[in-house]
Amino acid sequence: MEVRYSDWRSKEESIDKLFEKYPDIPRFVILKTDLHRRGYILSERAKEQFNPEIHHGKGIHLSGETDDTTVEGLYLRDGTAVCNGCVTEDDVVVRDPYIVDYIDGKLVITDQGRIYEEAEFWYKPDYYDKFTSKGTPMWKVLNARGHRLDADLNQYCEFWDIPGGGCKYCGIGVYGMNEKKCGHNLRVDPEDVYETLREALKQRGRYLQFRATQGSLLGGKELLDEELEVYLATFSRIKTLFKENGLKATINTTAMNVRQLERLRDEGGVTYYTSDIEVLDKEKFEWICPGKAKVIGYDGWKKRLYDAVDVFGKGHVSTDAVLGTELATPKGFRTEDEAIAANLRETEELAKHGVIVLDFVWRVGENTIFKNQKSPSLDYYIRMAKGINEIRESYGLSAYFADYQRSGNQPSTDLARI
Amino acid sequence: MSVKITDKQKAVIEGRKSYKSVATISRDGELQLTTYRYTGVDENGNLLIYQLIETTRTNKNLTYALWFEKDVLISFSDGEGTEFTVKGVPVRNIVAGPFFEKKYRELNDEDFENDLVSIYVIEPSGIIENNYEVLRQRERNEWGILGHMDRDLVSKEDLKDA
Repeated sequence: MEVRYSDWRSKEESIDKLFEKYPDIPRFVILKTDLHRRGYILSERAKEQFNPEIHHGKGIHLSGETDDTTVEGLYLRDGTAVCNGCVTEDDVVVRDPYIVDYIDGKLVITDQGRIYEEAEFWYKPDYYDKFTSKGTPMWKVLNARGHRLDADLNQYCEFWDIPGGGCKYCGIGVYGMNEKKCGHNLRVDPEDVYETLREALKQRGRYLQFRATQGSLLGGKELLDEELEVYLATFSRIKTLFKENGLKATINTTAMNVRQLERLRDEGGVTYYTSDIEVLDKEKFEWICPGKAKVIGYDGWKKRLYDAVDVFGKGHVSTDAVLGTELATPKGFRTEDEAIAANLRETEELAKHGVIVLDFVWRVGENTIFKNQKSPSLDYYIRMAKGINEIRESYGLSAYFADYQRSGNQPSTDLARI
Repeated sequence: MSVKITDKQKAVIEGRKSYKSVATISRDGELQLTTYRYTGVDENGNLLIYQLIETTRTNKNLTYALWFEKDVLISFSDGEGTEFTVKGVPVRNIVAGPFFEKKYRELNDEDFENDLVSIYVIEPSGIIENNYEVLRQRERNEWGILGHMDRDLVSKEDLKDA
């Protein structure tokens, strides 16, 4: 394994120091945040405990398929989910990862020989080995992120068709481009989604939410109409499975206009809406997400989020930020303090309008333009999670629809548990 | 585990008609007392609390207790004289897996309105006997100095007006 930033331990505060520095932040959440940031690798003993017939290995994602050489996720003892970060010896990483080991009959998270916590592999979904009536393997239709069923309806993002337009931290572009060149189908069939969802729900007590997203589709009569139709085709089909208003779902689209948002609500039965602005500063956004900046713009994106609050309601609209990218060189913020101040200022501005900011911990991807960048310190992510959660609370915004079970990805919504 | 739940106590803990109350504190130090419908005991002798509602203050407080190693109290009564309180710290919150799904199905089959958010595992550190008769006898046996004098007269005739 190649570690790009091998001397990081001498330059950053250790997790143990941060446990002491933030006594009001649970160690589970600090550890989960660092697992997302640094990643984790399985020891040989841990690999022996992983059984792909029982545990969740392979999965389908926007950025491609994973196989049984990595695990999809972990649970910590308090129910905290670790959604990202499993790496192998073949990967290139920024910092050396944690080691998940098997010691004294327990799966444990270790670093430099010290045991930090117990862990548990996620479980393989019951539907995984089944096929739709069209013969599609169901594991390629929906992925189970813990308790959430994820549908990635189209794996190609058209912002990458704009010269220099792809988001610099994002791995969807390279994957989608290669798949498209090979003539592979990058769309998921709505009927396959319907059948897989129906099959998945036979596993009683497992799933709490359905989430749909896709790569951006810019075409149509109006900008994004093509993307809208892909969502509507799936949602109008799956909502027939549930009682009126019974579809527990979120949707994560490119920022749509009022007419499109109303159609998602009225025809699709969508009640919670997300559109990821990714970077919480206009100037950095324009550098890091040039396609989004050119087509919709930072202010345009924010306006569409505020419009979404009018359509779906206060607290029913969120936006993800890939935190840390705003510190990338050479055009990012120069210090973590400067970035945190700007991020929290913008988080508050969005909260005033009823929009929730969700914090995504950036792990630098090898197949991205930012592959040589370095993610920030653990201290940075703790301060951001704490700050975002405090702002959300002060504006009376709940995080239940993206909480520790329904999403499991964001440290700030883990903090909202108490 | 230093404290063992007896078979008799286990029957009360798992009894559908038993009274079960969970006492917790919030992150701000506020006290909370809530009645629960379903509790149990696992194979290791830990107490289980079946959490049916996500949004309650007690759910938040149980997570707070797990995160910061705070005690919680769970009181039981079978309504027929067996009363006790289990003290302990939540050590695990089960949100998924075969055991979770088995319990979900059992509770859901019993009452379709039952959902299951999670199962808190409480490691008991003490069991306090609350039964009135037991407490009264214990005090009289150990602390003869306590209580009103008129209760210990040789003859109740002495209590009557002259």
